[in-house]
Amino acid sequence: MNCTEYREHASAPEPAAQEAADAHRADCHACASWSQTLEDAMSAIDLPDVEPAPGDWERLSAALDAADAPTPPVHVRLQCSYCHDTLVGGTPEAAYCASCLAPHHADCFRQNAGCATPACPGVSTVTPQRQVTDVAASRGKAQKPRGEPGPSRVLPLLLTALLGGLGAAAWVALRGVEVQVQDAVVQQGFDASCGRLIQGDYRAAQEGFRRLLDEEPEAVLRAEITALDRVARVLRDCEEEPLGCDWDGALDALTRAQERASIPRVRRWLEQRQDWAIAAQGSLHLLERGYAAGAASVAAAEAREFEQALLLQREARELLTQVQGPLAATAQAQIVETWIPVLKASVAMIQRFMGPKTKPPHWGRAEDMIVSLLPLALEDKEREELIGYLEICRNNMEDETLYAQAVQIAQRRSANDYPKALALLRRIRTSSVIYPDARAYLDWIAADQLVRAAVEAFDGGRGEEALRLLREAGDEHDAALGEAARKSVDEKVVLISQVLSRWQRAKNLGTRAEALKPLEEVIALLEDRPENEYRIMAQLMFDRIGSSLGKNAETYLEEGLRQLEAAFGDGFNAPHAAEGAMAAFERVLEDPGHKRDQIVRIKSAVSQREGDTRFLYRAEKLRKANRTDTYGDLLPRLKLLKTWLPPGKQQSQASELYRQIAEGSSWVPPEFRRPEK
Amino acid sequence: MSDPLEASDDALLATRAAGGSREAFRRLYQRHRVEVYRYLTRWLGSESLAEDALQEVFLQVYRSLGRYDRARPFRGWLYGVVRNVAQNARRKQRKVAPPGCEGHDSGLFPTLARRERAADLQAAFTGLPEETRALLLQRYRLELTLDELAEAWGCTNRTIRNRLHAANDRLVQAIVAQRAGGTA
Repeated sequence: MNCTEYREHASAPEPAAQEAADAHRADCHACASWSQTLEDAMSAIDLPDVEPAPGDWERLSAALDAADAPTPPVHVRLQCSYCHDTLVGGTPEAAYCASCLAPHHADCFRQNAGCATPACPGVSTVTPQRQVTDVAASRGKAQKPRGEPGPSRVLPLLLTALLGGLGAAAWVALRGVEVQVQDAVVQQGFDASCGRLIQGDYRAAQEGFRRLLDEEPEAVLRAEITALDRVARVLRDCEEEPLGCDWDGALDALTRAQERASIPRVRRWLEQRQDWAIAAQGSLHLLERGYAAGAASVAAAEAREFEQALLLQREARELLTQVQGPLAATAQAQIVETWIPVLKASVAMIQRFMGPKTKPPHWGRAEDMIVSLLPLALEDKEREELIGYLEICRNNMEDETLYAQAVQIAQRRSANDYPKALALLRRIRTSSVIYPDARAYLDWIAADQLVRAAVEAFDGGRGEEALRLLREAGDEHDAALGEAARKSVDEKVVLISQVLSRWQRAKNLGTRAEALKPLEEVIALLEDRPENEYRIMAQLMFDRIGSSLGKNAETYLEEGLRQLEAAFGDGFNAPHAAEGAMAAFERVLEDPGHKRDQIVRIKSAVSQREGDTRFLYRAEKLRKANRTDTYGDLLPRLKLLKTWLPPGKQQSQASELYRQIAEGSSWVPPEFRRPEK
Repeated sequence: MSDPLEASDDALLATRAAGGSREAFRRLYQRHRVEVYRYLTRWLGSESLAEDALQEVFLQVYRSLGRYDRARPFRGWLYGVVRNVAQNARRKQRKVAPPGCEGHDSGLFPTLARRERAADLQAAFTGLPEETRALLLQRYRLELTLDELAEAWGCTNRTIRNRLHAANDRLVQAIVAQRAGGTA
């Protein structure tokens, strides 16, 4: 079962096909959706829960009393004497035996080679040229029976008379006269109704024909009017709903009416309408298939199965554009009717692909959809809109390619390649979705260039310029810098500021020893940048100052050695010399330019003096003798020895002795006492 | 003892009414009056018009009983008369109705009024041609058989099938278009 058959079945279910229909519905999403929508709609349609007002029967009953009683139908029909089938009088197929006037089909008479009435010798026929007026009509409306079913008793008698002598006389006597309407008024009404029919005003034509039928015209005219009335009704239905029209029936009605038509222009018009109906009949299956494909296309579009929707739409177009004749307009309307929802749904999806909610936008998918839709566009406006979307997609895709190339180049972090990346980024349109990213990348590259220039300036000894460039990068391109980049810039600013402040302090101190510390800090800060101008200059200055300070150490060393000689010579009479030596040696140590051998010389000289004088032995004896009066002289020398003797037994003895004398002496001057805890 | 008329089918009642039995006609009337009245109320959108039309329908049925063919479904024949009377009433209604009344189908979806999609369905159904709506109502609300519909509409069974198919498609398309229009 296909979709068309399924939907026909759904409209008028047949138990035998129910299983196949259920299977189709389970497989076909479009038909399932169609059925569901229909079921929802029909379950929602309801009749109002109202009842006629009480007493309605009484009112009707009163109206019935005043109305005509039901009129039993009178069916008068002729039968062929040969085949006993129905025979329509007054038509070319009706022939009457020239001997006995028995009705025959003309073919039957020929086939029988004469009259079929037993014992009738007739071998020729006569045909009526003027129809006898219907008996009822001849009696006039005023004579119609009222209340009682009288006509049912009268008419058989009249029929007998009709088929009897009166009829025979009438049929034969009116030979050679054209069929015409007896009553001039009826004729006029008939002409007018035919005119309306030809003009396509079927409703008015029908009303006219029915009024004429109420006038009870003669049988031939009545048959013609009935046939034309049927034509009017059928054509009206067919033009209103070509899809629901019974075209076979329409063609049959047109053919029968054309056979009976007495007016030439009506006959011609009926012939044209026959051609029209034949064309419609031929196109009907195309229209139905196109209609089904179109409906399925809409359902698929609603279900967002766009590929399927467009496939079905193309199929519907193919079928519907083949429809010719009276259904062509319907087919065209059908094309538009099914195209609009598909287009709307497709454009909505395209906009979604392109829109801000889709990240990143699916330009390629949108482009594919547009390219598929474009050939189906019906109007220039639709085409222009789709082309507009297509341009947006293609521009964005091109710009995204430029962006990707630029990023690839920039990520090499080669300053020489930056101009290429910048050139690509500058080609990106401001209207592109990627433009803000491109703009950010431009800023980032500019910031990176500034940072690079700042580092170069700093390494070249232009610290102030470096700081200015870094601040510019931070201020003007802050948004473009990532967190890591921003941290890196901040660190560089701090480093350069620290270097500059120390460098400035060292410069202010000139060649003084105090300048060595800031210079040393500059060197430490720039430890990993050996080529930095500040580091090189700081190292240079540090060395120069250190070299000059080294000469002072030598001077203090000489002074110290002289004082040492005095402190341990001449019977230890110069205790203050020990303090002088101690101070001189400390100045040597404080001199950044002192050398290792100078320290070695001091220690060697102190050790030599101890060896020569055996001062520790003497001091030990005096302590044991508790010669506290000598402690004031001993302590400065012991301090010198414990400080400057090389590590060993003597240095330990000096330290211990110094401690014992310093602790044991209540009179020890404060500067020799151990600090209180 | 049961009433023989009560159990009689419509065709038999119609035949007896055609023979002059007012009681048979009354039974026919009682059997169909509510359904016809509701249908006319839906079609004409007014109870007062529907009451007049109901009287007119059964008056015409009474007059035309002589032409009724017992071999054909009475209900279909009845709704053929209903259709004609309703169309005439509708035509008169259009002549006197103030501008803007056309197509207003108030109360069409009384049970759906509170539902979210009622507007879509109402607009879609109201937008259908009058006869399409009538056909759908007869088929789905009055549950007329195909034979009855064919009789009511004066066409063949096949034509009714085609019309129903077309009417269903139209309704579905109208709903789809309505929803698409509403969301676009």
